[in-house]
Amino acid sequence: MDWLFHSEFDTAVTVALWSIAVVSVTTIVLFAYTMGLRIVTLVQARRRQRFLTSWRDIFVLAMLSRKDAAEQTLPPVRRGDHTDLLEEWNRARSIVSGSAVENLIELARRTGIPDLALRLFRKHSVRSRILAVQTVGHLRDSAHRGEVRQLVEHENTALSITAAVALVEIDPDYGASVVVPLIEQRRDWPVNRVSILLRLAGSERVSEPLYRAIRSAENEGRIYLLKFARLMEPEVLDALVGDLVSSSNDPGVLNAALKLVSGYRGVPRLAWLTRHETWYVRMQAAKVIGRVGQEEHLALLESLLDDPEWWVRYRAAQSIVSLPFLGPNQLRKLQKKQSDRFAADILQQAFAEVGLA
Amino acid sequence: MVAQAQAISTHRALVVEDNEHVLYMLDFILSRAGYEVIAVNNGRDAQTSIENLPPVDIIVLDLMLPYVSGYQLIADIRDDPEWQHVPIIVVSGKVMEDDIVKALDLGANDYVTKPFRPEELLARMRRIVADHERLAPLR
Repeated sequence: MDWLFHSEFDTAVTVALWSIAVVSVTTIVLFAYTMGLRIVTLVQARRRQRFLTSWRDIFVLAMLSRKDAAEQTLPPVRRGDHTDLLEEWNRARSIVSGSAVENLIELARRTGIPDLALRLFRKHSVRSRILAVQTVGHLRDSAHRGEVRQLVEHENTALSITAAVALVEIDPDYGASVVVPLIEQRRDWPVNRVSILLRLAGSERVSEPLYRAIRSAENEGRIYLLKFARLMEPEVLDALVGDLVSSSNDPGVLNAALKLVSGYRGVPRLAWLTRHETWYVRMQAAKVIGRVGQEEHLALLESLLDDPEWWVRYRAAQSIVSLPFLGPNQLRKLQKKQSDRFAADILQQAFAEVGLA
Repeated sequence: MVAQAQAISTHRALVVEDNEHVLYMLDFILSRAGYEVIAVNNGRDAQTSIENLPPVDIIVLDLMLPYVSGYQLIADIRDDPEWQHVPIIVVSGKVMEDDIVKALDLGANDYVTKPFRPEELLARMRRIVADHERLAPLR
């Protein structure tokens, strides 16, 4: 090594050589470390995939046959696999209904899934708690109804709606009575998830609390809640629509209520509605008559053919064409007797749409 | 169950479903029941299968699919000279009356809503395939 220290120039070369050596060694170490990490990640990913596939097969088998699933040897579950196992079970559980659900719950008990869910329940992470609540709901585990009930009013949207669904799964009667009155306040809950929740509870359980919630809400709340009214029992829905149409003067409420009319059981105040000051109420009234109208309502529709608002004239004309008791000849006669040009024109357009022109 | 599986052991089913978990499950269940399954996860691949493969015995179809909707696929199948008589059973999360009526009007033979009962789906498939085979000589 003496040749390295002959002069100042040699010192510089020495420093350079040592630097190269250090950089090279560092690079090799880092490369080896990166490769090692990559290999570990790949091995873990493959192991996880094998784990998920084997459990997925067991869950699907359990859906079909409790006996076949009971004969299966269950793969070992390590501490790090708990979340994957719960997620996979919940996925399987959410796809099926009927006896397959009972089979999956039975298998979950054998696997220790309820204990795993309870452990997650007590964690602070919202993600863990959501998974825990979903699992408890899917297990229909009534022992934890109180804890789930508390989470329904949690400020976190995802956690609270998951708890609401879980509560309905655990105890549909109690769940519906708790959750339905909260829907108006919890506008942060996604509408589609609320619909799923109400459907899960069943129209027989939802009808009464939803009817009460709509009747007691202010106009804006009523309009929001009416989005879910189709999930009520038909006779309760008809009674609700009748009540609202006969008692409310709010255009938004009338509009939302009229959209729900599906069969003619005496829609109140139809003539008044066709003369309402708000154009979209008149338009909805025209559509209602088109759906459920009787012969005596034809005059009401005719009176809307010269309405100042184009949409009202258009829907009235469409409704006239859709009335089952009017044939092509009667429709043409009706058009001829119109003295107003707008009325005749809009009827012509509605005729053209159904190939009558 | 074993007898039923053997009875339909030669049948082929095209399964179109974009959710990988549901697709896996349908593939597993149908294979176990004796079907030879062609599984695709989007509408475009389903169209390719219809263009390039001989008709299958039954199609299990979701409605909400990437690229081409289930409704469009039903219409395409009913317009296809080779595939037009293949029975279609829709398995969908769409539960509204309008959606069900639309699918049946377009030509679906049956409609099952998610979440579904696996055994009930298999029973419906058995009945539809049997009807299809019984009527085949008349076509």
